[in-house]
Amino acid sequence: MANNTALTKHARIWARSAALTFARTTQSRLDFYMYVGGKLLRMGFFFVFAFSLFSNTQELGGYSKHAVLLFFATMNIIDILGQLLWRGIAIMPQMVRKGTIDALLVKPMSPLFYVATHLFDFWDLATLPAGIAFLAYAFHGLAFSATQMLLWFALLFFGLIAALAINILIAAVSFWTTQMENLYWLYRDLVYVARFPPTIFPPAIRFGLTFVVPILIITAFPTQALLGTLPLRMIAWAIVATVCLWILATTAWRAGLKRYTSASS
Amino acid sequence: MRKYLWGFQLALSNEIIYRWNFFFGRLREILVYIALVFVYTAIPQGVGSYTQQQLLSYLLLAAFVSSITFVYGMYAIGDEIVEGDLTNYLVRPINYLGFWASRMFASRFLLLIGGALSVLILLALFPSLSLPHPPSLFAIGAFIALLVQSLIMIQLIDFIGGTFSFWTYRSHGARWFITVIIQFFCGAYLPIKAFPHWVATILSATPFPSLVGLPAEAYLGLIESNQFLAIFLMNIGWIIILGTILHTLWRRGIKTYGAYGK
Repeated sequence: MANNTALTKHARIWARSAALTFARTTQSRLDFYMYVGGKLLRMGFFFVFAFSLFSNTQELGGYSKHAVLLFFATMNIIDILGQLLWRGIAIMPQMVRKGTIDALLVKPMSPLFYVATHLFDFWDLATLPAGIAFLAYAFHGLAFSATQMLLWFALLFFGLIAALAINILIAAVSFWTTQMENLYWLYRDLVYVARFPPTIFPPAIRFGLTFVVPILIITAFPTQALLGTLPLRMIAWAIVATVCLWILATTAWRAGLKRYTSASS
Repeated sequence: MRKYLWGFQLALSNEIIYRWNFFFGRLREILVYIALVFVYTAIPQGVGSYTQQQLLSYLLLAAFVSSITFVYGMYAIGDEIVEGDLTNYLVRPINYLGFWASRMFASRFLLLIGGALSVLILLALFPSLSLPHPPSLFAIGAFIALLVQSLIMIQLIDFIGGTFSFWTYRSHGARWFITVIIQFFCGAYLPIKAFPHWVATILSATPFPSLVGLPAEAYLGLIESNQFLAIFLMNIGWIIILGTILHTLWRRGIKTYGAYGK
């Protein structure tokens, strides 16, 4: 019963935050259209870029054009969903620096929940149909079984959780140093460059991106599973790594909160 | 002139104070180029009319040129307009955009060193890469001339982005839109000619390829003398158009400026 009440309360907080964000993001229509236009252009660039790469070749790192497009499109969907659900985490260092997080700590709600979800990204929501169309186009040229499709969904889910965990981990670092805003953008860049088929990278980099900073779990594993090129042990690793990342992230967040001493309020 | 020199020195000190920002900025850019080296290495057939070797050489040049061009003052200018700090400049005998141009020149000057470092790091990481010597004196001259034009154009576009704040609150969307177009469609990651024909045709009717792609191509000797003249004149045309747009927006913006927040 208590859990249900907490869930309802947080759902209401999320809905209210989303309504406020909507009011803010549509304050200037020009700004809204420009943001959405920019995001669509960026998506379009990756689409055209993938096409260009195949002007003289039939494969890249052992993958066909549609398979490469699927790597891009799947990552695109993960990126959009991440932005929709936890965009607020990006401004965590700013909140710590300005001391605005103080106001959250005295309220009867999960500060992590609020920090993560208080900025529902309506710009990305507007680009979601284009992202799905991109994905549908990539799917169109590929053959796969129902099991592979299920695996794609499952690893997409684990990829999202792993991405959230890494975001929380980066946000938690803000409790120790407020100079690490760049770390978030470095992670975003890493995610951008890791959306190419992993086979183009040398084994040492692949190892690093799988076991040290497991970005490939997010960017490549779902697509590789769908295409049937992901070994079973890697599927197991994706689950183990996601669970470990989640434990590490939530532990770091709690430790950071304990350590936090109001910066400026 | 001395006050603009102060602006230059001020910006230089600022950049040096925020060393971590400078370091991370370089690191982020190198990361993208490292990934692209791997991508192009995986395509021995090359892309479009570019051979693999040409693509990799182009990438080094693009890494250098983009490091100088991908820096913007428009976000800070926009904030100064919205927060009313612009007033501090308007009441002084100083040209606001001139002062900002000197500040941006300082940032670009430092990034010139940063860009050269990026190229050196890429060369160190990939022994198979090599920065080719320009094939002729003409190629060096064309590269320098187009680079100077590129810097003038990017500065004008940057200032145009800043002026949007006269009309919309902070105008982050408009400025972000500009940075996305510049980042992805100026040839920083793929030569314009390697894009599908229809995309290349559309882009060639904009000033964006002149920001990174054309200077890089000039250095590699991929631009003939008659082509160079046409590009040089076209760039002058773009500078006049962008300058006129900036002048008009600034004049109209100043009239609507309300110094809110002060």
